[in-house]
Amino acid sequence: MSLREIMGIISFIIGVFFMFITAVGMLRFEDVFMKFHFGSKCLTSGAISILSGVILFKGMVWGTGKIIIMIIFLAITNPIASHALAKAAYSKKILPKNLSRDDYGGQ
Amino acid sequence: MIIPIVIICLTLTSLMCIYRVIKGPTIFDRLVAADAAGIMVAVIIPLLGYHLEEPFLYDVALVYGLLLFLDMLIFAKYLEKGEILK
Repeated sequence: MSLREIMGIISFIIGVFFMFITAVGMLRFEDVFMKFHFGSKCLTSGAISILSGVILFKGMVWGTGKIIIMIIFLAITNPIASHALAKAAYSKKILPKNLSRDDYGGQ
Repeated sequence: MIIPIVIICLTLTSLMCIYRVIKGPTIFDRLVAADAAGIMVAVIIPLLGYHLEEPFLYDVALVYGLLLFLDMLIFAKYLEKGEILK
């Protein structure tokens, strides 16, 4: 087992840890906005770690460029989708629990 | 040897998100859990392409991620404004 594969295994372990944290957060938390927090941060970092592990296993060949494009694409689009859904949830008058002051609403 | 273990773990986490899709209180819980499950599946597909040595699965993963992003934006616009095309 070479050094590259050991680094790939470490990257896989980090990515699976973040994905498991995301799933536990989806199951345990009750508020919608806490789920948006998990869905935009932990999910993106887990996906980037696992795809980096695939790159380390594969080596620099021609098909690796597609995975690099996919990493850049996920890092851009996943927070945008979470932001759009959170804005739609706010417009439907869904507020976080234990909210003391609403700065976004302008009151 | 490590690749099938990672695929099994990601499938289990995706099923944990599908539980929230079925049992969510509001529609936004279901949408964000469906987004999470979809991105987990989009990460599984390149792993499967490396394990089976099928290079076209990377293209499938790219198109899958693109359609997932478009899907979430269309749902957000429909739920916010009530219409998609004016």
